[in-house]
Amino acid sequence: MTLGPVAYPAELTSTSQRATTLATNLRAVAENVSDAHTRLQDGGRPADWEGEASEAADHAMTVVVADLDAGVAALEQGSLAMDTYAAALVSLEQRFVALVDEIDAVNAQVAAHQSDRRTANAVPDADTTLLDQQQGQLQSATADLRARVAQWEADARSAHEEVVAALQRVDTVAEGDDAARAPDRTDAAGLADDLQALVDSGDPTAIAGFWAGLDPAERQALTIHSPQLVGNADGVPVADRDVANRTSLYSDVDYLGQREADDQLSRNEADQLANARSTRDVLDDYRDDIDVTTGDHLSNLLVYKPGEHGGNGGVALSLGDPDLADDVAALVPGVTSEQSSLAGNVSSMDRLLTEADAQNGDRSVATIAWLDYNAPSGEPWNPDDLLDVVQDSGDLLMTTNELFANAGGDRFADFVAGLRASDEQAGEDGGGRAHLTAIGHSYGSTTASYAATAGMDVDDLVLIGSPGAGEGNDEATDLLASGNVWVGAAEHDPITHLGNPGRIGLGHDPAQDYFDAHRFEVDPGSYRVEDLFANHSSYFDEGSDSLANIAAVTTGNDPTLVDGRTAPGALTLPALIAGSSAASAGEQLVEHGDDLLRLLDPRGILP
Amino acid sequence: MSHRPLVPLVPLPRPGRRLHGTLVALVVLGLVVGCTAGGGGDGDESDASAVEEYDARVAEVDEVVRAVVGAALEELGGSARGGGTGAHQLCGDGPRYTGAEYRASVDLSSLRAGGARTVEVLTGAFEAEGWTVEPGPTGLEADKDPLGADLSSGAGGRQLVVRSGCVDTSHDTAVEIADRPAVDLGL
Repeated sequence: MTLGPVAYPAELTSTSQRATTLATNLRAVAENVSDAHTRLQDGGRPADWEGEASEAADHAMTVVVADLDAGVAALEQGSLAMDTYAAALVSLEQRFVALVDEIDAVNAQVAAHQSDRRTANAVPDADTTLLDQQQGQLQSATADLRARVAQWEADARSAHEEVVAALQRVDTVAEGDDAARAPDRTDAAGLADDLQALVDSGDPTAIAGFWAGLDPAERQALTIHSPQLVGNADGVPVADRDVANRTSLYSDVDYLGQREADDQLSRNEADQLANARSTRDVLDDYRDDIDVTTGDHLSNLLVYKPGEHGGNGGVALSLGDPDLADDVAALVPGVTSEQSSLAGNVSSMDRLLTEADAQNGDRSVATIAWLDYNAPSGEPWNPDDLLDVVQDSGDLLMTTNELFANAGGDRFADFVAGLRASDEQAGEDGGGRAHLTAIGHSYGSTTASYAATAGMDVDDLVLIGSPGAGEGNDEATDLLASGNVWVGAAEHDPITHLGNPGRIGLGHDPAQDYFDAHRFEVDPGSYRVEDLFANHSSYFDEGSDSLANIAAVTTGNDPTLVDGRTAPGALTLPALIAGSSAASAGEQLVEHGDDLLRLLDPRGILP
Repeated sequence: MSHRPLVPLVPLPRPGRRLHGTLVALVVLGLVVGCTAGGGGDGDESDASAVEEYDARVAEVDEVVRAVVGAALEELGGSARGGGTGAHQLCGDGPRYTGAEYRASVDLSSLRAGGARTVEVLTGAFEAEGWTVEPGPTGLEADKDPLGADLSSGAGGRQLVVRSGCVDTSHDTAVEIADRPAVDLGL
């Protein structure tokens, strides 16, 4: 038998990303149809109608309700079929990557063997015993590999045929009716009631167990019936929350976009549509990014509440899957933590993911931007908008106390508990219990501190640019009993000088030596007064000491530590403001000294 | 898109505490100056030139992505799954952003070659474009200051990301740039 290289598998005709997108779109349509069905079913004919016209209307509505239900049933099955197809494609794509690696390795051995054989053939009476043995082994290896390539191609064809057949089973009105009337059809409303009760009880472990007990058809029906409930339920697996939240998102963009086109948007709906679009834009930015560990898409929408927090919206998005990753970091941003500021925070988490990936070798990482609390607004007042003035001025006043941080801390602790529950449900197949780090920036550091005192289950807590670690927290062990509290405080970041002993902040400055946290090295930042706020916004800058050290904590490595601040001799806020103002003025003087001299001495009399 | 200047976070004195009015005023003044002064530039003129620089870097990133991925497809076969996406992102932690960065990403999991061969071909392609290439933790890292790239590989696939590096701008300009829609690179 001749020995030759193994051919690569044929390319897939579709991709998991496209199949997932189609499944999401089908679900979004299904949700809108389901909503219409529920509204008509619950509303029906007006109660005060009577007579033949009333009966005719009743009949007509019954027919429409039945038709809509048939549509929902068909779309449930269609989207489930696409989900199954997408999962099969992810598996095929993973196998493709492994197969081409193996083919390259075996083909290289074949080429080397053939070269050795040609050399041996050129030598009369050469002993080819070893070469013959090697050829036998290679023939066996290539035959095995060709069989697996053939199996892969057969599985690809089979997956394609199955999805086509599944879609054809519900592609007529009659088949939709049959699906709607099937005796084993899932009672989605009943499941939604069960899940809502668990959510109300605040037990993410019970939610994780409930979800694990559902079959795929039940999950699909429940997701289409109540995507907001499923997507925001702490304890539901990350991948399924993402599916549910994308369903809500694309349904909102479609429905509210149409109302906008019809000039019917209320103010609240306009806020929701803006929030939905800003979230969709971030997902679009990452539409071609995969998690190279799993082959799934990189971004996961963990929270989607476009109408929450007075119209600011609530959202959380991960890069990587926290249920499967070895190391997970979740960021709580500060002021303007609202849905529209998701993009900037995800960019920061992208940089952290890249740096952490570079530091931790084979361990996998996921990062999360969590913006699901009523943070004070950093936006200014718009004098043309009275409501905006009232709302934002109220918000700004709220930065003077810790109410938002306290309430937000509770929410964040619940969110983390949900991550722990779904991670535990994923078990060892999901890589075991993740090393989890919470990161609070600015006002978010106070929020994260409150989460810690509320019992947040994290391994490490990072506070950066902190105005204070919350009232009543006198030292690091008040936040985490383990004392694994890490602090990044740029020397020229004025916000970090507000906490005690600065006395106008939100509790103790955690960078103080007496607080006994681990203070890591951070670039001090510019000493010009006009740059001070930029210093507060530079903790995730690419190439910075700060980013490297936050990544070190995230991956369980050792950051570079520096001494904590000590009261005598430490830079204070007044000194920073005065000194940096003087420095800026000095620079201006140097830059414009000649102009100043001409002004003071226009005739050039001075020597 | 808001063109309003930011009001910074400045915790005000709590009732019953000693007022630090002068101090607070100084912080407000200092930070407002910081917020409105842009990224250390000189207003509109500086921002216009920053946008020009940003657009030039976008073109440079797109060009190298087309060259490198094109070389890989030609030499190895297969496809760039999804066609690649170029996205405009923010720099800085917020609420005040300090610049913008362009990020192009391409899923190379469908190349008809294993990881080692892919790295070899991409290394040659980047070097032909004048980039410096080093082995990365799971693939390669390439650099042509201020641009950077990395290829990461795992059991789930291979991903190439090329970045423009941050271009300093004012906050408002950064947000305007980041509001641009993601583009399909059509690879």
